[in-house]
Amino acid sequence: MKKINLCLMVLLLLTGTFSCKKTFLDETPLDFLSAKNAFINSSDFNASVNNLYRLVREELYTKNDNDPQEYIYRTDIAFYVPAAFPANLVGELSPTSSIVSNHWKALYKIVAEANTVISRIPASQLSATDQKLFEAKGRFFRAFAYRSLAYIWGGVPLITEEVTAPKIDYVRATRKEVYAQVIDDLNFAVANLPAITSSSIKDGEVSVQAANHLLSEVYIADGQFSNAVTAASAVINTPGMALMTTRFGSRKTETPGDVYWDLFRKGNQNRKNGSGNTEAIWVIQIETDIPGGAAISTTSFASGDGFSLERVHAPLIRDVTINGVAPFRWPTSDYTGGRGVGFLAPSKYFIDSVYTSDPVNDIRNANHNFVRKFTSNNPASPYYGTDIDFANLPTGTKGTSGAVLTSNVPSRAIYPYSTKCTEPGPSGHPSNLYTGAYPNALKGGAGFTYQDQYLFRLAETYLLRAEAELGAGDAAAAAAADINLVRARSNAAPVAPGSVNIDYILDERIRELGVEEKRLFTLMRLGKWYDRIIKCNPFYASAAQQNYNLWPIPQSEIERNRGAVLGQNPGY
Amino acid sequence: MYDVTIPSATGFDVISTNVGKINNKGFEAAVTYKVIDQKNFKWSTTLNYWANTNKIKSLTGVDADGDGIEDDLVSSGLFIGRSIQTIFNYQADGIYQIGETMLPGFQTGSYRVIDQDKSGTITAADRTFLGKQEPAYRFSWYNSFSYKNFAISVFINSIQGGKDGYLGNNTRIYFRDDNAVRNNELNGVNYWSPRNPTGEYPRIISGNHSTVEPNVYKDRSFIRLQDVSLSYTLPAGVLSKIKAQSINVYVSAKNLATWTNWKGWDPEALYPVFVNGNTVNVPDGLAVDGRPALRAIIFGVHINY
Repeated sequence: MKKINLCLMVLLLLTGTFSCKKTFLDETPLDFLSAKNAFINSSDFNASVNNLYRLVREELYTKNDNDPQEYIYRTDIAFYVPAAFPANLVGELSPTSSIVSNHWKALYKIVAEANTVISRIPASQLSATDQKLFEAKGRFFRAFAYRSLAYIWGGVPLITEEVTAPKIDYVRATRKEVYAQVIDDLNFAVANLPAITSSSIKDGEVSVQAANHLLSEVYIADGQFSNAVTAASAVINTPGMALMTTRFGSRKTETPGDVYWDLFRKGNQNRKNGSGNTEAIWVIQIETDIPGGAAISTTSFASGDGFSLERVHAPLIRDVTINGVAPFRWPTSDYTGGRGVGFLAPSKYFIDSVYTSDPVNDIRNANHNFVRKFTSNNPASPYYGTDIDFANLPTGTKGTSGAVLTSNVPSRAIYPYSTKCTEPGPSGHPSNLYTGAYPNALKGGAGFTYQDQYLFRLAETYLLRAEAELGAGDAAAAAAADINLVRARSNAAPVAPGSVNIDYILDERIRELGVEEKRLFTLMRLGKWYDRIIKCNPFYASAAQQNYNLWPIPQSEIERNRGAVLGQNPGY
Repeated sequence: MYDVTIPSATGFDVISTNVGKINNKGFEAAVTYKVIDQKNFKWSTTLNYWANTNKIKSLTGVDADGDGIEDDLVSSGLFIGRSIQTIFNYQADGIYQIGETMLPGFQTGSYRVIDQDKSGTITAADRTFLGKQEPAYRFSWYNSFSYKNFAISVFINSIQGGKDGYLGNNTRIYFRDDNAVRNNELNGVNYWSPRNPTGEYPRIISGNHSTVEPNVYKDRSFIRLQDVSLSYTLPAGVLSKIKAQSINVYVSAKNLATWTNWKGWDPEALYPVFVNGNTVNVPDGLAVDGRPALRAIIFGVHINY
């Protein structure tokens, strides 16, 4: 007993004598994930880069019904048809508007995540090659986000390091400075990303070509036209890249159809898996019913994320009646548009004016690509099997809430739409979505667009090069040659060099890129938002103001940044 | 600890921080008085009173804008000299009627927002202090009576906001989507429409939004008859015949009546919503999936052998 007591005594004394080093208290995460050990090897970095892909996809495609489409609403090509006229732009584009702050936030989230990837590289265990590769990927995404921010807001705070402590005193860089950063990032990406044709690249991944395509666009925005030509040419001259000119892919034998139609059919967007598409540059991956795939077929659209372009862009054909009888069964997976609800209607300019030069030969205006005539699919209607033409509606045609419809006037119930948003036919939609109640009958949960989506496509690269050539003053001849390559693929008559100007190129972009292009970026980078709204879209024209060429800095951001003044754009 | 807002340019919205100093003052009292205490008739009454106020004394300790006064955290809704749950927001003043001249960015049937700085447009400078969410005081009053074999108890509970306290966001959504139709909101809620110019809530619209669509705060003060019970104990003579030690017959009721001006479900209840990445509990207004206070009436017999 005495011995034990003595031992205890000694132990007690010892604990008083020895103490550990201060760093002993620092936790080293060995068996759990923490901010310290999250970025060590390439799979750690891949996880973050995958998240960057997700953030881009969410912001531009799959977040919900509205936010991604705001890059198309309030432009020259489309308007929100159920809303009251005229549009309330003062409200929607005010500094307090959530439309403005949501996109600001989402784009800066991409910046922050990209910066994290870049800043964590030096302390990682990546090989020298991988370090370059991940830095290139990080910088590509950072450039993509900053280019988007600079187009929409002009000069914005420029942050190029991971933010590790709260900071409240940001100031705006100039637009020029932001472009300079973007160009620097993209040049690094061009030098270090793999080529699109390389075997190491997977479908949907960014490549040298994607970086050069974006670089060309930003050079144009920055007024460096000859550099823009060079960057675009680098994409165009890549061996193995070419416009698709013959029918291809999953539905190439079907009629009606053509090569332009084939570009947007399911499974046809990716370069590698099967379709042989040589035109795609950056394809946003949408996979049905797999985790992270951003498309579901098993429950209602409302309960999961997906790209709701079909829902938003196809008309609410259900509401059409002729003398009290509905000529259409809705929702049907055919050229009536699937399960559209009629929100995003094309402007009259998109419907009529852009196609006037060659309405018949241009396959992009064929009814299977841009539907103007809707074939009645309801056997109970006297019109069954005949075409209901938007431009020539039968007398007695009524639409939503019994409103009398006028030919050639877009209403929620009927307007021409682009079939890029849907996949007609008995196996166009995922098989879960068919009810079997009548031919091609869809469930109420349909409404997503299930095809992969082009964010960059070679046809656009040609149009960018044409823009750059025009800007370089080397004008019309070279520009017309590029435009005519794109037009020739669609069997459209060539444009004469003398007719090419920036408005012509913007029109050609409508014809070629329709609802696929995030139009707001294009108009804002050119500073032509106001002009084009006035020219093309009466729905917004009476409410448009010059200062809307830049959006306001969100009021909430100005307030949160209490340590410095974040200046507001003029006019707000 | 408080979730303080930071610029979204950081990639984040808030950071949980130790911030500021707060002064809390409270008062609580309970009084029980036996009003009548006789053999056959007893009446006891208990009054409870509670009041608590808090005031922010300092926040960051920084004067970044250089006006000589320590800065408020406006975007976090924290202001020196005011309570934590102060409401700083736009002030609605009725609804724009047809033909009325409106401020730019507003439309007929939307809330008329008061242009506090008289600038002719509604900007962030038009926000003002509307009150606070904390109650001014609460009280409860318990009475029990017994007369021979009968016993009655009555419990009344109340939370009061006083002049500008205990406010809750009582805004009704005004986006007319198909769910709004399915939920029968157009019938259930007194929305403004050209045919209903006295409607209390803004026009339910699809698409167009006004520059500012303010939250409207309403007083949640209420008085509730929370518990009432009546019981009767059988006299000993009856018991001996059926060989029971005691038999008690009673009826009790919970939440029989609530007197309040609050629009919606139970004024006291909170339900969780997701704001800025955090779950916060907000008062239960005219929410589709709200729950009323449970009203229960219980009959019972208590027998001991």
